[in-house]
Amino acid sequence: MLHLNLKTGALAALLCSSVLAGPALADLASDQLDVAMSRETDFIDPIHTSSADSHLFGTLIFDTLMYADRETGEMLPSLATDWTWVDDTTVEFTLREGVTYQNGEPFNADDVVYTFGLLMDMSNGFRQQEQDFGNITEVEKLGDYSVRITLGEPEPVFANLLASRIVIWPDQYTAEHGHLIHATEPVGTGPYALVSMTRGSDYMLEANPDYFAGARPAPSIGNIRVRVIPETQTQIAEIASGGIDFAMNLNDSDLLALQGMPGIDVTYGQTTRSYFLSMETQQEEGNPMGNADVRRAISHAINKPDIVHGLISPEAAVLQTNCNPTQNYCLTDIEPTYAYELEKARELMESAGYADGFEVDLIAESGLRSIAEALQGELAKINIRLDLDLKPLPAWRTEYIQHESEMSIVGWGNGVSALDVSNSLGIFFNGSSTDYAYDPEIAAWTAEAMHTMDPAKREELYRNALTRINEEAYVVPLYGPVAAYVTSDDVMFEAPFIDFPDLSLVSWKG
Amino acid sequence: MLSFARDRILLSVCVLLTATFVGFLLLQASGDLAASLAGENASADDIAQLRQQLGLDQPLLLRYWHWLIGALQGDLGTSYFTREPVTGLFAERLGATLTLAIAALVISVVVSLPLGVFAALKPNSWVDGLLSLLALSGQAVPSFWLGLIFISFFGVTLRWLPISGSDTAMHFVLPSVVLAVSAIPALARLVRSGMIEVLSQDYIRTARSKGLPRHRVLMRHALRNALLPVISLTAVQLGALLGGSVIVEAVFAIDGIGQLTFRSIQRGDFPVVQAMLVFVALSYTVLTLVADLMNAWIDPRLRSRK
Repeated sequence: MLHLNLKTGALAALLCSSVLAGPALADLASDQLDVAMSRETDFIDPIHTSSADSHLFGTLIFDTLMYADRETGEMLPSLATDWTWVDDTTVEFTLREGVTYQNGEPFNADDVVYTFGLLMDMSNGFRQQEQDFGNITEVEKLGDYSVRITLGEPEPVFANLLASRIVIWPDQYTAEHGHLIHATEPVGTGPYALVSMTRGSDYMLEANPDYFAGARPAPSIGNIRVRVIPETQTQIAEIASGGIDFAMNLNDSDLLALQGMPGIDVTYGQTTRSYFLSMETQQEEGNPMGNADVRRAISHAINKPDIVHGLISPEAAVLQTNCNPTQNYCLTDIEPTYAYELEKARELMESAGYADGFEVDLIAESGLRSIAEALQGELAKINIRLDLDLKPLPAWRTEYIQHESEMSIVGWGNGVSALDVSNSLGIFFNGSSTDYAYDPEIAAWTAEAMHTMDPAKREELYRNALTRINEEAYVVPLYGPVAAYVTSDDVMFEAPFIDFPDLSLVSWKG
Repeated sequence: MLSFARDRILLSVCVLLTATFVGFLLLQASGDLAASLAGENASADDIAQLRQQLGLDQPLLLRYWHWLIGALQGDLGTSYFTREPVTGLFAERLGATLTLAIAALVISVVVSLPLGVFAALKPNSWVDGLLSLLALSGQAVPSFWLGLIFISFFGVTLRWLPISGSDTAMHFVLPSVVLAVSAIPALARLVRSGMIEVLSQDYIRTARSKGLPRHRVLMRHALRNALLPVISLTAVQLGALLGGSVIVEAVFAIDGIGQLTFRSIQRGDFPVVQAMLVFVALSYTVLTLVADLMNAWIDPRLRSRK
C-alpha cells in the first residue's frame, strides 16, 4: 500500500509538471513515430514465439497469406490473392505476383513451401509448435504462384493462424543463414524493415518503399522507433514531454491520470482475453466446491460489475458466459446466468449445508492482487474464507497446470489466435490437467467442435458446452479487459477490433 | 602478506561456491520450469518431454555439477527463451550497468567524503544534525519514487535531461544521481565516525602541537587513517550498486543486467537468473577480497589478524 501511495504521489507530481510543461511535441517534423513497449520480446518474429509483442513486430516486418482486417476481423487477401478449400482438410492458395522481399529476393511458392516445411519440422523447437502447427501434414508447390496445404484433421480456426503467426520467410536468405537469423536480422515483405536494434531496448524500422500494398496501404510514416520502457510512469513522462507518440501497455489508473492532459489522445479497443474464477469441482469428501449449489452461491455472491468497472476499467466487459464476446462462437444468450444476489447466495450455502462457510486457498498471478482481494471480500459475506496465495506467473502456471489449485483466477488468450472460443474452451474443458470441471460431455463437445467445419454444428456444440458450464457453475466468468492506446494528438490511429494493432496503419494527422 | 592473500582467496572461493549452490537450490524450488515453458495448453506428456529435453529430470546435484563445470569453462548456459548464450546476453548489457554503478559510486564518494569530514569537525552541532537528517532521508526515500520525481522535474518540467534510455552520457545523469543517493548516507556516516575517532587520537594532538597546518593534519594524518573502513564499505557498495540497480534501470529504461534479471525472474529463465547470481556473488567476493588486501597492505597489523 505504501508502495502504491508513493507511486501515486510521484505520478501526481509527474502530471503537475507535465501540465506546467505544456503540450507534447510529436515527431511529425522528423517523420518518426516513437512507440513505447513495456516488455522486451524474445523474438521479433511471431514464428519463434507467440506473444502480443512479437506480433507487433511481425505485422510490420512480414506478411501472412491472409490479413485480418483491423476494423472487422474479416480475412482479406495478402500474400495469397485467393484461396479455395478443396475439402475440409485441403486448401489451395493462389499467390500474389510481383512481390519482393526487403533484400530484393522475389516472393513465390518456394518461400511458402520452405516456411511451412520449417513449421512441420518439430525439431525446430518453435514455441507451442506442436499445438499450433502439428496438424499441418503436407505442403505442395502446384506452380510458381500456387500451393496446396493439407491438414491432418479439419481445423476451422486455421485461418486465424494463417493471418497471425504464420509469416512467410524468404527461402534463400533463411536457408543460407538459418531460421534464427529472423530473430536479429529479419527479412520479410512487410511495410517496414528493421534497420537496427539494441536487443531488449531499442528497435528502428524504416518504411519499405517497394511495399506491394494489398490488403493494407503503403506505410505513410517514414520511420518507427520502438523503445522498451518497463515503467509505465516513465512512459507517461515521455508522452508528456514529447519523447513518445504511441503507448499501449498503460493500466487504467495510468489512463485516468492522463485524462485532461493537453496533446494526448486515449483510444480504447477490445481484446480477446478473458478472466474467470476456476474452482476444483471434483465431488469428493472435504471439497465443498464439489457441490453445485456452493458454486452457484459463489457465482451469486460476487458483484462483478462493481469489481470489474471499479478495479479494471469502466470499459471492460463483465462476462456472463465463459468467453470474451469478441471471440467467434462466444454466445452471450446462454442461460442461466448469475446476478449479484447475496440473499440467494446465503440460502444456497445453507441448503448445501455450508451456512458456516469454509476455508479455501486461492492462487493467482501476483498482478491480479486487487481482483483476488476483492473476491476475498465478496466471498467473506457468505462465510467463505479465502486464503490468498499470490505468486509470480511461472509459479502460478506450474501449480495450475499440475492440477494443484483449489481455486484460481485464470486469464487466457490474446490477439487473432484467440479469436475463436475454441482457444479457451478447448484448453480448460478438454479432460486434461487444466480441466477442473471433469465433465466428459463438455470435453467431447469441445473436441468435436475443434474439428467441425460446419458453422451451425459448431455453434450447437459450443452452445451445449457453455450452457452446461453455466448450469453447473463450473467457473465464474469474470471480465474481458480492454486494450488502451495512448497517442499524441498528431497521430491518426483507430483502435483495432481486437488487441492486435498494426502500426503500419498509423499516420500523421493533417 | 602472501599467506594472508592465499587464505582470503580460499575463503572467497568457498563463499562463491556456497552462494551459487544455495542460489541453484532456491531457483529449482521456485517452480517447474518445464511446465512454465510449455505453456498453458501443453499436455502432461509435452511437459515431461520438455523436462527431459532440458535435462530437468536429472538429479539436482548432477545438474549443479554440470552447470558448475560449464561455468568454470566460461559457459553459463543458454537462455531458454532467446536461445542465446547467457554470457552474450550479459556482455551486451554489462556496459550500461557498469557505467551506471561506477558513476553512482563516484558521485557518492565525492559527496560523502566532504560531508562526513565536515560533520566530524563540528560533531553534534546543528550542521551535523542537518547532515544526519539529509543522510537519513537519502536512505529512506525509495529509489523508484525519487527517480520519478527527478524525471518529472528535470525531464518533463525543465527538460534539461533525457528521461529514459541509454543513448548518450546525459542519459546516465539522473539514474546515477538517484542510485548514488542511496549509497551516500552509509559512506558519509562512516567517514564521520572514523574522523571523529581519529581526531581524538594522540598522534593528531601531536601533529597539531607541532604546528602543522590544519588542512594537512586533516588530510594527511586524520582522513588517511579514517579511510580504512571506508575502502571496505565502498567495495561492498559497488557490489550493491551493480546488483541493486534493477529498479533504477526499470524507471529510466536502461537495458542493463538488472533489467535482464528482472525479466528472467518473471518468466523463469533460470540460466540467466543463475548467471546474475554468480555475477553479484562474484562482484561482492572479488571487491571484498580486493578491499581486504588493500587494507592489509595499508595497515600491516591486519595481516596478523586472521
